[in-house]
Amino acid sequence: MVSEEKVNRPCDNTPIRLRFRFRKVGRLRYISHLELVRTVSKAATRAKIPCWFTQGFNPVPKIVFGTPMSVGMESECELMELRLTERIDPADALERLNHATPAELTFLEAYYPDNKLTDQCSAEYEIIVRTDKDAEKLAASFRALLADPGLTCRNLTHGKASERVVGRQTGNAKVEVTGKNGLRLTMTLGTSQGEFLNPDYVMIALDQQTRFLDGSPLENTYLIRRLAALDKDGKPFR
Amino acid sequence: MTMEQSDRLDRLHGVLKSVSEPAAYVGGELYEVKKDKANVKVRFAFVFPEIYSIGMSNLGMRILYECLNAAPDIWCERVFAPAPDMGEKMQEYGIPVTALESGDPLTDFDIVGVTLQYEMCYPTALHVFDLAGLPLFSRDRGEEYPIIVGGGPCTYNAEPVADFFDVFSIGEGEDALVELSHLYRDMKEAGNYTKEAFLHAAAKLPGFYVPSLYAVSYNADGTIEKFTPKYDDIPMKIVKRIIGNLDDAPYPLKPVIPYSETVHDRIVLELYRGCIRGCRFCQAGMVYRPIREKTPEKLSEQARCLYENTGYDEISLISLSTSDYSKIDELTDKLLSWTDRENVSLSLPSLRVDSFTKELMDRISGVRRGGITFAPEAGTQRLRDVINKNVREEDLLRAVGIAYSAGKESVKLYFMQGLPTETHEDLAGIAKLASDAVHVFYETPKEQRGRNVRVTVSVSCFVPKPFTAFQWEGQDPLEVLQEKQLYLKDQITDRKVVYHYHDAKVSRVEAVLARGDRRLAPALVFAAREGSAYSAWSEHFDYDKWMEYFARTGVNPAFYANRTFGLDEVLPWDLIDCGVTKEYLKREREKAYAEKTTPSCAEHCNGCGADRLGGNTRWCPKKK
Repeated sequence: MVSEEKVNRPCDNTPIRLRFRFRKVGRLRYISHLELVRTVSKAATRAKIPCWFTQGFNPVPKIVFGTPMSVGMESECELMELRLTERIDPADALERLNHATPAELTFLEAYYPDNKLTDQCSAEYEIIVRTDKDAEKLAASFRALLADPGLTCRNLTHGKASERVVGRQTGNAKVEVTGKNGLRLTMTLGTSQGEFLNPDYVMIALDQQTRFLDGSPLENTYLIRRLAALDKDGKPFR
Repeated sequence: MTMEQSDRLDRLHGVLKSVSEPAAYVGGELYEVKKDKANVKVRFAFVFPEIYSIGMSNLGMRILYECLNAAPDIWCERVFAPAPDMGEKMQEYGIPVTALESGDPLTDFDIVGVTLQYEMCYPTALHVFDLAGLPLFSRDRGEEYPIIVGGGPCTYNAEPVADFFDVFSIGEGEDALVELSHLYRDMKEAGNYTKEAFLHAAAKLPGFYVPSLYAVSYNADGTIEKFTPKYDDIPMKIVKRIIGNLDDAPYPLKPVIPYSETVHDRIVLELYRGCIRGCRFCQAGMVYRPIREKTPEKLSEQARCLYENTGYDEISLISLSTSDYSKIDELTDKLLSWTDRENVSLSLPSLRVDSFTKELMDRISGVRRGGITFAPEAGTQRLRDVINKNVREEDLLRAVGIAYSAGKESVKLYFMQGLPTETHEDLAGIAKLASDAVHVFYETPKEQRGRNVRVTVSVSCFVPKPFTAFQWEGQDPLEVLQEKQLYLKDQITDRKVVYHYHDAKVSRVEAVLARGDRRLAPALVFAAREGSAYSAWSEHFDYDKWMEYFARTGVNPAFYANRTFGLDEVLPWDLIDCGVTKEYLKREREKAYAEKTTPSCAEHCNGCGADRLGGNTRWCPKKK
């Protein structure tokens, strides 16, 4: 039974959305999207933020996230919106939410947005590669492959043959060698509907061509970090 | 996160990326306790030999984490068994098991505590030792290794794992583990610490059993001849520890909150310990005596505090039989004064049909729907009298009716088969009772009941457990258990009744371990190392492999599982005093065979003996 106090819809039909930008790095990279939703939902309760609750049989705070990421990726620019029942001071909400979440989950910014989360068009990524192979040689093959518009990631789903051409978006990628065992890749990939490209697919495509992940996963791996959210003009999305 | 942790993560990244639940291996949750290694005197690793999502739900672990970390000079950290996919990668790449808080391997710790919740987790615990680089046998761990202490319900007969542990904490560990840690600290500081001296001193503390200080000798027929203490000044009976006043005991108000969904993802309120009922098959009902209740005031205060700190939307009121809590109405009144408003629901597991009322049903049916579970345990009144379940058929049908009229459509009934004196008539009684429970639905007025009904009958196999009236009974042979399961399947013809039964093979191995002795150790090593480390998971349990481990180590499983133990025989658990006396258990056994029931502690004191342990017991004073 939903009690009276919780059914307090805003009096007009425009939902009050408070947007937060947060960082997801370190151990948090292993938290799945679903786990993050649960965590934020409970944190909002603990922080006593006046959340608007969904009207179903199990009312939960209404939370919308921007472009989700695969487990294992880091980000400096994750976006989420809480729907509220009343306007509150963003700075105060930011402080309370940070107080109610684990130390490593840091909310960096809170504001009332004048655009929609779906207005984000692309994201800038950095990919740190650790390898026990010749880094210079690997960088050269990566450069050639990323410049090829036909670069394709195969066998995405288990059992079923499926593929995705990733080369169409990787023309802007840069590859640099960072010491004996490391490479650093940067690239901007689409995040809007229809254009979304998971950077993991790019790395899988590169591995399918070069087998750079062969050997112990302790020595051969890569870490993807999302650096910035961009709008349709390639400017920081806010 | 420290640099050290960050380096470790980067190294593990390639592995964590490819396992099913990487978050289970990194820690960093809200309310995890971090301390500076340099400022603590004792580092305690608390091992739960199950995977994270199961272990994190355990209340006992949360309580002890709280108690140990409340001491400024002790840092207690959590350790769980890796899931099989991660375990394989750890073995392949030489990655040790580490504690979640610091990321340090277990060999860096002073004390490693292992909770033994279920016999089938013994091989899992040994698997964790292997992955942590700890020699399995206590005698092979020299001064450089941590002290390994076992605790939890299985320590009431820990003989099968006695050779692997340095010491066992018997009973409730809140004070005991802090005392043990401080003994360690004091001896280290005084410079008189050696493993041998420490264990000798620990054996003299109340509630600690040091198995290596008691030699076991056997008779020609394989039964135990006697236990011989190595020193004159250690006790021949280790009396379990209890907390006298639960209101005053530390309770975790800021439990570590996992990111991922765990088995029991909710606020847990422990109403009381012990049980006023005396079911003759039930170990928990005996070993947690005497009954000690918390006050509704304390519970309500803790619930509110837990809600503020966790944000969970469900409160589970737990105990061995929640509706037997003497102030259940007062407590639910207090909780309902705010829970509805905050969209928080109450759940009450462990309900008894005789103390289940319409009022109680109304209180818990609040926000969420779902099924309701009762445990009649046996199909006929005769057998229920034998096991002293003290539940009448009319009580059950009345309780089921209340559930239906509150809109419940699904009822689950727990039974046991293979109970002493059981006949096919008793099994047929299960089918009839389930069918009668279905009929009650159709007799419930249409405007009150739901649309459809389903009665699930879940049947487990009787396993004789130490410290019960049936501790001497042999388990039915495997073929008999299986034949009974199929017989019952034939008896159930009602299409609204769903029948589930446990794997009898698991119950047989469980019976071997439950009543086993030290001669099982070699078989457990095989189990841990040759493919049965995760035997508590049905998909990883392989009966034939277990029989092979037993055969290779000269163990006759029937000797432990199926043999009726002699009433005067020295039992493997005779060194342990759980409060309830052997004389009481013998009396209860006689009454079982005479089909006589024993009233609950609320009605009459039956002289079980647990009251001598003290504590602010609610029921026992009636004896005076």
